[in-house]
Amino acid sequence: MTTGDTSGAIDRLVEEAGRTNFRDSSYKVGVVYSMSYSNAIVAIYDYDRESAGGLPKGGFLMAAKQEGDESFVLLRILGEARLPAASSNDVTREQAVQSTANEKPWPEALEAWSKDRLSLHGLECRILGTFQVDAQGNRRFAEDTDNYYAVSDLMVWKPDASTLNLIVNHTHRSNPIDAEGAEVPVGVTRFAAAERGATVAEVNLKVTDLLQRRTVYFGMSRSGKSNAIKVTAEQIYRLRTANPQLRIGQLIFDPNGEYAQDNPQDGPGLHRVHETLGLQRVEEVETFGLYIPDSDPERKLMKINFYGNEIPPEWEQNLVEDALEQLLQGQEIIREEMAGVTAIYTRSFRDVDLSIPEEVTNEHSPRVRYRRSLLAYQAALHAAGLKPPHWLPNVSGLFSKDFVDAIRNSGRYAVAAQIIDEANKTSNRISWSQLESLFRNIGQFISDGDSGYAEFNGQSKAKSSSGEDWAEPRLANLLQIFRYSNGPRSFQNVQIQHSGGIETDFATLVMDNLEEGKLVIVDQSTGGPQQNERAAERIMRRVFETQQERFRSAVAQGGMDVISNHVLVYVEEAHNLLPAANVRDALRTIWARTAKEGSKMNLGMVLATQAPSSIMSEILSETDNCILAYLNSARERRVVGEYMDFEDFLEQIGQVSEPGFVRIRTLSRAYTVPMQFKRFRLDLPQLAAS
Amino acid sequence: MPYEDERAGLAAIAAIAGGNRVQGFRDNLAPRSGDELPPLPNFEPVSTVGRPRSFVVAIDGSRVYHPIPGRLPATEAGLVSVGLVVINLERLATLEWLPESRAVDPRELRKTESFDPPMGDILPGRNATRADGLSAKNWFREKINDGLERASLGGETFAETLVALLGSDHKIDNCPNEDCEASGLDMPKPGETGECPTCHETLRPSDGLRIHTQFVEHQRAEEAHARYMDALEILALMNALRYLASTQQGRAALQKTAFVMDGPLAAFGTIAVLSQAVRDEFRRIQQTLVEENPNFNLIVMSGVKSGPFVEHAEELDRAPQPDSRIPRSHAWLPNNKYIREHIVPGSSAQSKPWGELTYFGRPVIFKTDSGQRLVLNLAQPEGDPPLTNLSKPRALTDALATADRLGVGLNQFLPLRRAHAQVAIPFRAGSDLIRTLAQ
Repeated sequence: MTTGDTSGAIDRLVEEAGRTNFRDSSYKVGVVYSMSYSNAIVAIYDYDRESAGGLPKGGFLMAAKQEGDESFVLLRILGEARLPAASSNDVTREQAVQSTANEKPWPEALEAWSKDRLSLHGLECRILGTFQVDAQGNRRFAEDTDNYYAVSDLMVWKPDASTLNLIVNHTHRSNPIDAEGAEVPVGVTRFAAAERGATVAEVNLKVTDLLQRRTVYFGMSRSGKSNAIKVTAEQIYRLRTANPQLRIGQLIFDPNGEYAQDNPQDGPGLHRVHETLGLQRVEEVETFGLYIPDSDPERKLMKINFYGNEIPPEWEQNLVEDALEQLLQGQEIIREEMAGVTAIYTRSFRDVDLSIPEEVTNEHSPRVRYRRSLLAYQAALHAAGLKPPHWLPNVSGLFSKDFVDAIRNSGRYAVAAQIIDEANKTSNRISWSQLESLFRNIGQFISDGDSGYAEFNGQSKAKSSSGEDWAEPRLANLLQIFRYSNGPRSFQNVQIQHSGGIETDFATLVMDNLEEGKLVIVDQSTGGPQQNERAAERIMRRVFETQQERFRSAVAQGGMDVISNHVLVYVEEAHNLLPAANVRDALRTIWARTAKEGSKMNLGMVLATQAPSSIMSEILSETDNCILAYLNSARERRVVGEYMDFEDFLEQIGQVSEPGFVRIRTLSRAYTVPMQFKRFRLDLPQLAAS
Repeated sequence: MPYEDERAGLAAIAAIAGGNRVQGFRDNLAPRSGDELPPLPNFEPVSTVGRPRSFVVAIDGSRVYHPIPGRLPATEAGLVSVGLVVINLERLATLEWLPESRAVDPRELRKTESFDPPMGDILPGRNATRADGLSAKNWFREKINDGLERASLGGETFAETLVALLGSDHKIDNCPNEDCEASGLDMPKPGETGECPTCHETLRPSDGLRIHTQFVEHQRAEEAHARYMDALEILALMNALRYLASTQQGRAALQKTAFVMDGPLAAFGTIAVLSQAVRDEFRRIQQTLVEENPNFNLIVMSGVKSGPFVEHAEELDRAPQPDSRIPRSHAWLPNNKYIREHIVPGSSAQSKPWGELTYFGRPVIFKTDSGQRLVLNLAQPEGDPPLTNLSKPRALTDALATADRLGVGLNQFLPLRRAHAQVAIPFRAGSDLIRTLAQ
């Protein structure tokens, strides 16, 4: 009888008598022939090998005494080991072949005892550690063995499905992120591509292992990297059902558009994962891209308005900063686009600092000069072909009567005066074409020694309290771009990243969505490599800085909460985005910083690539989760062979190319498990109904 | 003998090879009987009516002889053991195998054999005097007699078997005391000791084998140990046969069983006295069983692994391809004339028939159906020596039918392999055991 939460006699009976010993259910395949601290040689007969359903390379074995508790030494099969009789067995084998003259299988020439002798062979095994059971029946895994005997009395078993399940899903390290339903099956054990009818166990992935941590998926194209990421991302998303407080913001850079769209391979794409929970997309999923396809009208454009927003009439610092945010980011893009220019006039334009000077907050003249420079810059954007925004430029108060008269009197550049006069008669607003024309003429007016500018400028300086030229260096440098007609063309390639109708930077939008715990997919299937790279970097920087700010605030308030504010970033084809290994200053890039510093700020990172060598060793050495698929390059295999226990799998990684056949090791596991990842397939209600 | 890390130079071989020494030797060497292959003797096809035995009892001895470190003068000891294994051939033939690897269950395979722990002892060798001052030789005498008194395969002791074979009136030729000249001494009964009337030296049943005469004080005693092992093998065979023949159930088992020994069916040197006794006992057992079953044939055979008969069989089988000339499922029993002319030439034309005094079996060269070339010795209880002058043994057909299933590997005889596997003392382990005597 039970009272309250007290365990009853029947429960105790179940606990004690119902506990099965692996010796009863697993197949005894051999004995430990010899052993050291790290390796063991197991002696096995063919009969037991076949009876056990085969013993593939990489498979698990258990070594324990003939009788005893549930403790055992866990072994992994590495390959063949030649026993001392192997040489004489070779002779017998050859003699048998000769005696049959290849007319029939040579074993038919042998009687039972000879076959018995030949069938005894050795397997070299790695000692992965020791499963121990305490008095209460609790299991513990130690990653080594504390002792061995030269005369070993250990027998060896091949695990049955139940024991295999225990082995492959044993939680070795605790994860501070406690979440219900975090252990989810993502596939089944698979030790060889050719195995048939093998004993299998479901392999669970503790998805919270990925949070705060570095995760890598290595494998060639078509090896199943994307599939594994989709399965993983879906399961992390689904954590919110049992753990409402654990809405993980997930950001996926999608180089092929397969996450952001339905596709023949997967059917419904990951972007529809919310439907599996019957939730509305607006609160769960956001997609970004360079265009809006018919199939995804809710997609957000991943462009910025290079012109920025209109500066408010009343100068309020924060409002001005918001208005100019995209303009300044656009200037950064242009600066990178023009990184290779050599001509002085284009370099002068490129290197202008358009950030908001401190003095403009309180002083009128600096503010006027700054606004003139902004308009000059925007005129250059227009000249470069960037479609202007819907609002019109305002020239109110920017040009004095003396200046207008001077440029009018120049004759050749009088059209500028006409534009200003016309604006003064109306709302002070001019068209973007007029703005371009205005600053073209101003630029030429200033640079033309016979235009009368020098005389005007002398008078202007005399009146000015600052003593500066009317065309102070910032404006003068900006106007250099108009010196030659093809000047603005030097950055016209940024057009594709521009949209005049956007009011908020997409990087900000992405971060906002992540903060809301949404799944955010950035479709990078269109756009040039450089453009995608820059966009991804901008987003990543925003994510990093935001999480960093959260971390600072949290530290000030006593520490970062391990449950909330998680962001997990997935980078497919990471070699395209991350700086190459061994590149100077690579560790200063946002990617490297995220990888190395992200953990403390609840920022996890998942990298997928076919080129492990492209990932900086500093990142790999900080990687806790690793999934290895087929790699055909010996050089790439050597890279992964330097980490964890992957050396044991290098041959298989280079040999078997089946999609989804991977080796997985995660934070909470103590050793690598070969497995077949399940296919990503969203379980949508309507699909199930149909 | 070189040191372990020493390698011979070429000077010696150069000195011999130089000049005309080699050519001169060749010129003086008697010419070969002919460049052609020796004619293939009359190998006859094996009769298909033979009844293979269901069980094989294989007997084998083993020994290791080694110095005891740290004792001066040089002191030695040896291990000697003998054992038997019973192989169930019917069970062996009906083992089930797995479909893919065609492997049989190793546990089931081992159930086709049964054996008891081998009988064995550690024996004194050179200078191994006993603590009470007993000489190494007399200690050896005492220990081998104790061994025979203790050993049994179920019925009588080996000592009783020995006395039964030699006869209770058997005389010990000379007093074991080298300083005593007494001869024709009575051999004590099993379990008892006697006394030399002249010197009062204790006499034992084992003295009837005169093995101690090969134990020379202060010299290596390895030959005496080897002779003792030979005697143990023969006594084990005879002990088992007599035990089985003593009961009705045992006789029924005998009819289904073949006995296999390692090496020639013979007793050499001091124990050659056993040969005639063994032949007589074979005949007695054969007659006893024939009275119950007229078709009974006692099968006692051995596998010979080396020596002139093996070399001769190899030569006969050499051309045109090695191991190809003797047809499969054929056997040949060389007679005395052939043996003396081609295999073991006698020292003179008046040489005694080959093996007349020492052998209790006759050679049979046999190629199995699966191609193993076996050199066997087969007992012929119904005949008197020299056996090589007799017609075919009665047991030949059944013996070959049995042996045909026992050829394994490259001209190997399965019972010997199995007996060796169960009985043999690993040399290293045996040597180590003797070394521990130094502690």
